[in-house]
Parts: sequence; C-alpha cells; structure tokens
Amino acid sequence: MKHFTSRIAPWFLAIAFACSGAVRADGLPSPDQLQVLLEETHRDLAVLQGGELPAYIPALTEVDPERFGIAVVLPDGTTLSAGDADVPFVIMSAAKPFTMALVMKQRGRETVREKIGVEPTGEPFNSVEAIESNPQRSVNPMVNAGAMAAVSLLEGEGPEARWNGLLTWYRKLANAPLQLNQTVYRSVSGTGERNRAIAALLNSYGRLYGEPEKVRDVYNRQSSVDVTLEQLAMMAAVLANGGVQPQTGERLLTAEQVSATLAVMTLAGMYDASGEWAWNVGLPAKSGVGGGIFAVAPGTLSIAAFSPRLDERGNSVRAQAAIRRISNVLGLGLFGPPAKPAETDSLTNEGEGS
Amino acid sequence: MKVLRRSGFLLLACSVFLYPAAFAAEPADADYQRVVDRAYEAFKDVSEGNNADYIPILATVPSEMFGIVIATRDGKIFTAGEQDYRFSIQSVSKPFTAALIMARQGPQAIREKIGVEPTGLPFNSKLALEIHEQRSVNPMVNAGAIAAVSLVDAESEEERWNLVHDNIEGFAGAELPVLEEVYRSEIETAFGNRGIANLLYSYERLYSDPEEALRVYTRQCSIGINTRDLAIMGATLANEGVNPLTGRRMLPAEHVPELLAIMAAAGFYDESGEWMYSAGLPSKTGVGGGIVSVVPGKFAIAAFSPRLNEAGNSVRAMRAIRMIAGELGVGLYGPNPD
Repeated sequence: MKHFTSRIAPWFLAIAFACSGAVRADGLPSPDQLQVLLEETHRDLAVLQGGELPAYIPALTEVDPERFGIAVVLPDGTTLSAGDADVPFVIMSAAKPFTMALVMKQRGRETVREKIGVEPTGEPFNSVEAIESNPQRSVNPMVNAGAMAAVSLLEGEGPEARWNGLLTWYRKLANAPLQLNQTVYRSVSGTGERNRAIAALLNSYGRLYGEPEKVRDVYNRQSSVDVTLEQLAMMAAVLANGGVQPQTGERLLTAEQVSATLAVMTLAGMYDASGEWAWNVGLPAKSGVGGGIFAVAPGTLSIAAFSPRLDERGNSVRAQAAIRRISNVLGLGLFGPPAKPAETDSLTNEGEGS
Repeated sequence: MKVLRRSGFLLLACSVFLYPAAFAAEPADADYQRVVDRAYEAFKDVSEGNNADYIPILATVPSEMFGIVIATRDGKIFTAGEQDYRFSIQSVSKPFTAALIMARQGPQAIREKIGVEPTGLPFNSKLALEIHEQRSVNPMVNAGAIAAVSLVDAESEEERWNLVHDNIEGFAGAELPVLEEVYRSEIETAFGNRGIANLLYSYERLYSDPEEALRVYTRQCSIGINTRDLAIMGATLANEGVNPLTGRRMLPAEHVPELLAIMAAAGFYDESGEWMYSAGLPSKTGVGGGIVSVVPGKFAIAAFSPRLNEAGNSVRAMRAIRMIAGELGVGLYGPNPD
C-alpha cells in the first residue's frame, strides 16, 4: 500500500494542483496541498546520504546526522512542516541576516554599506584572503568577518547589553523564547582561533567597531542560539512578509531594510556557492553549519529546512535539495520559472548540492 | 528511483501551471512612458564621471548623450532622449554570448568550464584567476567572457565570429555593424586581456587558440548598438528567451533564470552587491556607457550615457534604471529607497 501511494502521489498532486481550482489568489496551492508537497519532498530526499558533519566544531558532531525536517510559513502565519520540525538545532550562520537587519534598523542601510560592505567576496566564509585582497577591507555581513563587524555595530554598552538586545531581537522575530545552547557556545568559544584572527585583522584596518574579543564573544553567542525549524521559518517569514511579524502583526523592519537584507543574501548567503544557488534556485537564502537553511520568497512564503550533513562549502545537503525542490515545484524563483524542469532535475544533481 | 523520476513530471506540471501567477500586475503603457520621461528629466543634467579612457577611442564619444528605453516582453517600446546613436556594446555582450553557449552546449558547459561564482574582484582581475584553485570565474568578467568565446563550438575563427555576431544580432532583432575604429583601438591596447587569455590557457581553462579568442572577444565588444537594440536584447530575456520583434527563440526558457542569476551575482562587476542592494534587478553594464536590466517575465530597461564611475559603470544610466525600478516597484526584493 505504501509503495502504491508513493508511486501515485506525485501524479495525484500534479493533477490536483492543475485541476482542482484550489490555487489561491497568490498563486500558491492550498495549505493542504502544500502539506502534501512537504511530506513528499521529505520522504523523497531523506534517502540522500551525502555530506559530513562539521568536524571543526566538536559539539556539532554529536547530533543525529539522520535528522531532517522542512517547514514553510505563509504570510498569515500559517506554519506547515514535515519531519523533525520541532527538534532544536543551532542556528549558526543562519543568524547573520537577522543581525544585519538589526544593524540597519538601529543605524540605517548606509551604515551596513559603508562600514561593512555588501559585495560578495568570492571566498569561503572564514576567509582571511578576502580581507587582504580588498583594498577597502570591505566584506559583507554574510561571511564571518562582516558578521562580526555587524555585531560590533549593535547598540548597547558592553557585550552583555549587546547580547541581550540581540537575543530580544531574535525572540521578537521568532515570536518565541529562544535560548542559548550553552554546550555549543562553550565548544565554539574554545575553537574559534580563526575567527579571533579575523576579528583582530579587521580591527587593525579600522573595520571592526568594538573590542575584538568582546565582539567575538557576542558573535559566538549569536551563533549558538537554539532554534526549531518552525521558529527559523517564522523568523524568515518576517522577511517574506515585508518586515511585519506574521503572528504578532508588529512591523519589525521597513520594506527597504528587508529588500537590502534579501539582496545581500542573494549574493552571499550560501557562501562561495551563492552563485550556484542563485542559478539553481533563484531565492535569497542563508545557511548555517548547524545544518539549517532558510529561503525567502518575497511576499509569498518562507521555507526552512534542516539536516546536519554538510557539503564541502558548509551547506546542508538535504536542506538545499528540499528547498530547491519546493521552490521549483511552486515556481518561486525570482529570476523566472524553475531552472530545472522535468527530467533534467535528477536526484543526483540535487544530492550533490552543488 | 522511478518515484523520483515521476516527481519530475510533478515539477513540470505544477510549474507550468503556477508560473503565470508570478507575472501579476504589469505596469500600464502610460506608466512606462511616464517613468522613462521622469528619469530622463531627473538626470539629464548630471555630469559626474568620465568617459572610459583605457580604450583610447571611447574617450572621443560625445559625453553629453543620454538615452533611456523600456522594451516590454511583447515588444512595445518607450523612449526618452538619445536612442539611435551607435555605441560599442562592450561588456553588455557578455551574458548574451554566455546564452549562446547555454543554448548550443547546455548550461553545464558554463558551470564546469567557466564557473558561476562572483569573484569579488574587478572585471579585469588577474588575481581572481590566481586565487581560485579551480581557476573558476564567471562569464560576466573578462576572463570568463573570453573563455566563453573560446568555448563556442566552431571549426574556424570565421565561424566562431559568425556564431557570436549572429547570436547578438538575434537577441537585438537587428543588423549590428562592428565599429571598426573601436576594434582597432581596443585590440592594439588589449595587453591586460591578452595576459588573461594566456593565463587561462596555461590553466587549461581556455578552449581555443588564445589569440583567436582574444580577437573574437574584442570584436564582440566592438559591436555597435543603440539604446533601443539594447532594450530589445533585454526584452528577449524578459520574454523567456524569445525575441519579441522577430519571434526567434534565442535561449530555451528554462535557462533564462540561470542566466539572470549570474547577471544578478556578477553583472556589475565588483559593484554587483551595491547594485542589487539599491536596485534589485539582474543587469549588465559595459564601459561603452550602456546598461541593461531585466524584470523577469515583464520588460527590460536599457540606458546609455558615456560617463562612468570608478567601477566602470555609467553614472546616468545607473541612476535612471534605479529610479525606474523604484517607481514601478519591480525590484525583485521589494521597495528600495532610491
């Protein structure tokens, strides 16, 4: 019976989407149909075994590598999910766009542009060369250097005040009482030599705006926040919803702050695979080495996916494949219709996450 | 495996059905004309920037010229200012030759043999080649664009040139002459590009004789277009790869988003982030003073003005396009303040 269902369901879905007339005014299928899509996607892609856990952060190697979940939040706050949607994982770099957004909220778009930079570096996320090869020492808030610079620009006297402001901000976005994962925080703090070097280097060029070790400490805490998939998708939904939190109705960002955040995510959100991601999926997205990725379809919905095994660029293999599948099925890509329709979108292609 | 293959049909069926929803709310004809006129009025007196001077002949192009054209996916045209002057296409040609490779050899050829990541460095960077282990660049910077020309499947230099030239004419739906003076001026001073071509060749990332690739590439950059031609080239991409004037398919529809993605990531060289941050549209710029931006599925905006900023992008063309994108609210990420 299970076999039968799995063979028929895609056909059923296709026909249902096309013929039921249940497609809503925004071009999306109904929540029930979306739910089926999430479950199908989860089931199909759970077979992907590629990738590795990030060995350089000991605490992250202790998670169950088989975990896999997908969540979608619609503009009205409706949340749909499949798989491990309420198991917490560590946000890691997926926090970066939200910190960038807070810096813009507190100091304006120009501050991010002038004091951090908005260009892709063409280098991995923890690159020192990126700083050295750019005469203005300009990076962007999606790589470690720029993310630490963003932390250093946050309002607040001292690291505790900055951290409290930041955690409060994340909680507002998620509309949930997010917490720091102490184990990961200690693990990250103990192994961050490279980030220490990056912070010191930026500081030497006058492009870090606080005491490097204190900045790095807040940055490490930012990376160590626990989120569930539904919480991450809800944070992303604020961006999809033009800056308004879908559940509370509170305007957290202006539309201009949102568009700037999404632009930088497009160019640099998937690290040095961002060009490839734009090509394959065409949605602004941000990944973290905790295995989470979220993507934003402006005005339409947010998608978050989580699975711990990462490809060589540090992006979750299954999460990439899941978001790509959902975006393509729903035709969400900002540059036009699905990049890989029908037969060319083979499993191998998705599985490489390349 | 069978299930997954069937899911492919699901992708196709649903996407075909849902896609038109993304094309809601097209601006009315009067809106197009109004924004084009407004942008022209707003920036016609701006005199910041300088003509490109590293190619001697470009310094002689009349700096005052300024034109803006919108071409819709169904071929309607709205203009303000200069629209007939033929300027050299320069780097605006790059995405279209990338499209030729995608159409003839498939998108994998671009991904594997050139690259699709932004380099984070200027358009004429040699460093970009040295620091990337795969010597991977992208077709929007000089190295990747010369590689793209070398990748065109041709038996001879003449055939290579004819394919490149015919393709660009096909996108424009017009006959486009080569500006021979520009070509001579450019090939005589192409020392940097010659270095790039040979460096690529030494890393086996150039796929023809380097001098041949350099000549055809330089000739491609010397093609003369007017602002209207440029707008139609963009409209062909907005129209999912079919030229709205001639009906000729230039690029399979499924590859158009891929091309637009590279334009978004790297079309403005090392100012691409800045551009997406402020305008939010996939675009390509050239040191001839032309810029084209594509609103996927809707229309293209082309603008021409010879004076460039330090990154090599036309000052008035950038401002005009940014203003139009803002006024029509077509930035891909929502409103922008400019």
